[in-house]
Amino acid sequence: MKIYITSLLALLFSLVLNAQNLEKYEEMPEVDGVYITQNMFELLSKIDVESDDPEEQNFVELIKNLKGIKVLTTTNVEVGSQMKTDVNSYVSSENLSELMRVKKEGKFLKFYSKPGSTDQKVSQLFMFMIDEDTSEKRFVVLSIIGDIDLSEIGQMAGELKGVPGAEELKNIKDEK
Amino acid sequence: MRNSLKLLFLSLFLLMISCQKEQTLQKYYVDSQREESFMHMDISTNMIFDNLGEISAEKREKLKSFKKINVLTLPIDGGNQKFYQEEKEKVLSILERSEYKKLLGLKYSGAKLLLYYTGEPEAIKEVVLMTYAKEKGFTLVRLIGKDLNANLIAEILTLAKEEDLKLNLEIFEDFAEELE
Repeated sequence: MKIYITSLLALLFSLVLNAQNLEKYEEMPEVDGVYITQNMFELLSKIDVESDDPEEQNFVELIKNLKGIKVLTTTNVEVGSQMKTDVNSYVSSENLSELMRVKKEGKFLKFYSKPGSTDQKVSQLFMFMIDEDTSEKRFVVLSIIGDIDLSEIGQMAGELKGVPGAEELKNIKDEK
Repeated sequence: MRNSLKLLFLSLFLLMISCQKEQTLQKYYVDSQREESFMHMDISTNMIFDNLGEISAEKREKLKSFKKINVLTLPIDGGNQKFYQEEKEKVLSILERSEYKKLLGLKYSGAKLLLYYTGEPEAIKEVVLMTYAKEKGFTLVRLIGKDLNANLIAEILTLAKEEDLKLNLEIFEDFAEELE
């Protein structure tokens, strides 16, 4: 019994630690970030869409099922390298499986996912990108949590011009 | 006698704690008006937009669900770094209360922006925007709603765009001047 409890505690503790692995970057002055919460998606999904366009309706459906989006970026090489190490341990501790890998034009992207409610859906989509295309080396972490249909997220990504990884995300539905 | 005194102190103490817990942004806003270093601005719907007279009554009615906007700024002027820290923490701790539902957080080169609302999606009481930066200070903006909901916010924003509603920049300019 005691062993059971201690190992349970150890497990919980390691979960907390691992969760903090990436959370620490949110407070770092060298890191910029955006966090969108479920409250926001709830509000957005309440907006009437006066359109029969199935694409728009799909979009509302996608938004409704999102629980959070988080983006962290830094151009500080030291912080970025640390981020890379932490991303690797986060990926293995969270049991994320690799979805695809892209290398082009000085960009290196890795997408990971966690299984969702159905075969077409994932409960988390996670991306790590190193961008050496620009004069400054840039490190980006993107995490989307919810019940996510990969084909819909690809559609959404098509609209998100300028968002890191959006271009690559567009093709993600073919990867699963 | 001593016991009842003790009891009295204890209940006073508890009352104090519970009062502190009841600190709301409204109270903070009012309290801060006693402090000189804060800048305040209250804008009613009629003042937000310049050319309200040009649009239909029905649309104007919709705009009224933006009841008013409160702006509170604490600029850093060199000497008040510590005061700024304390006051910023006060605001952030109020915003941590569960009634403030976080919508968005943004951090860009040292500046932070936080967006919250209170109420329900169908009945939004207040939309709160808090921004702060280490060297500059903080600004707290509260949009107080009247029968406001998510749909109305979207409608008003579209309306403002379609009808080419002009933001009454003068009041903002005056405010900025005062800040200088």
